[in-house]
Amino acid sequence: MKASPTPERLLAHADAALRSAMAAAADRTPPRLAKAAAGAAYLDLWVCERLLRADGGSRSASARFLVPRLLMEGVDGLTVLLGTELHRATRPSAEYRRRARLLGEAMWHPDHEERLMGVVERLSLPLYGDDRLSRPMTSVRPAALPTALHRMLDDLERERRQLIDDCALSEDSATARDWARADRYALLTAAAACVDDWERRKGYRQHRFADLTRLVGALSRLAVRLDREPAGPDAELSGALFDEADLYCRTSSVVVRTARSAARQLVGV
Amino acid sequence: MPAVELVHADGPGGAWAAAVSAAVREGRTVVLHCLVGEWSAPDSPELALLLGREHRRYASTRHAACRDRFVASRRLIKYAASAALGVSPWTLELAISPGGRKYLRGCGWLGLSLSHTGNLLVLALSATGRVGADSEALSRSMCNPALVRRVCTDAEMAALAALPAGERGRAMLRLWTLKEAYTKAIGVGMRLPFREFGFAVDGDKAVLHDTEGVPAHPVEWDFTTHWIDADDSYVVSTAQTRSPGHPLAA
Repeated sequence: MKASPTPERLLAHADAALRSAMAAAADRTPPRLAKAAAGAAYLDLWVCERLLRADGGSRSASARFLVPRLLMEGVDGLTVLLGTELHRATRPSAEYRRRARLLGEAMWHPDHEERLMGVVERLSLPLYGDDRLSRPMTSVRPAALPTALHRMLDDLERERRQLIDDCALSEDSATARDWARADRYALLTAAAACVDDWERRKGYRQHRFADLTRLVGALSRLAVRLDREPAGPDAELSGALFDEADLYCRTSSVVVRTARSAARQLVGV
Repeated sequence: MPAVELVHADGPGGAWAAAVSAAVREGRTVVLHCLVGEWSAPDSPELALLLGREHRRYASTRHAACRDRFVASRRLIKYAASAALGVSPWTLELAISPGGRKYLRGCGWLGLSLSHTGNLLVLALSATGRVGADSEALSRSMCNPALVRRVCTDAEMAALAALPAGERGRAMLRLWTLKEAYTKAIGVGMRLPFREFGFAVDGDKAVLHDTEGVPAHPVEWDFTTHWIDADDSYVVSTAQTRSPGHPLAA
């Protein structure tokens, strides 16, 4: 059996899909929903890159489990941006379809059970010590946080505590409930990686509004996947994230071949 | 064996479960259909356990018909997935992605797509790739010229116009379900305007086209249409990607 692509490789596919879709749609002004789709794909790419960076790269069980689905969903959504270009025989459209197909193949690769069990095994032990979810979602005082972020982090913190309680109560024999816990664990680990990144960057420079918009948008998408409400007005629809995605795609003329270079460009270092 | 198997799921514990298990194991897409009444159930502690966090949504739904349909759809999904995966339906948790695509937590590779119209519920399951399903009652009229112009490509409008007048309504309903099934399979729904892609139908199959009527290439998708007679007559279309691998055969 051919090995499944690493999460880093999938990040490169999603990056190329986003660039291709943006290039295919470059000649027209995208409608609101198309802009939202581009912003959403950019956010999912950003979340996955944060998770990889914070949780041990391609060795991360959460990343191996979660990244294929998150990136496939974000990239599939780009069909709205492509519109009439979606099935044309132009180079950007063909490249988008190729990358989307590769992400789909990774999602349905036969090692899906092994990827799931990697996270389930992690949850067979109590969440303590080095595990990021043994600590609260943020150490920042609530009063020091913007309202939308505060509400969102409050919700995610409740979810984290519930997961810890659920894990403590889990039965000895494995059931499909463990699969659901694994899904929640991976989503919360990704959320924590995004929050930690935001807090770390706060240390050496003033918060930019774009950083907050990106964080709240990313956490909103993760919160929806956790059955929680997204924060305030839909950040994806604000247009700001489309502009950021557009800038991200324009600032590099070099095809991104590795997640490391993608990561450098995503965080602007 | 057909690549897409249509099965009547007549309630929990029926013979259909074995057909689902075999179809998913062998890499075929299975399309279950039923009437709401075959799967609805009154509120109870067991139902609350089955619905999990979704029980709040159920409890806040005012209209009895909507509640029945909600319960029937969730029971159908969980019992069908239970048959496919060989686990208890009570332990499965349903989640929804930001784009609206449903999945079972931890089992995102088991593609599922739900559709309802009138009293009919349809659930497509596939373990090999993206899947979407849509259904419409044949009694519904969609041959409104404004709607046709909004939904169909020029090639599709020409194909419809070439049909005898009596066949256009049925053909239009079929196109609509194909478009819905495709956009559900890619998780975008009607955010992708239906006029931005098209279909050419051939027997119970269909081929995806661009807006100029040129077939999409390479051929990554299979589209199938079924006609069902239940309390009414319905058209059901499914879209699924062709996959090089097969998870359950591993």
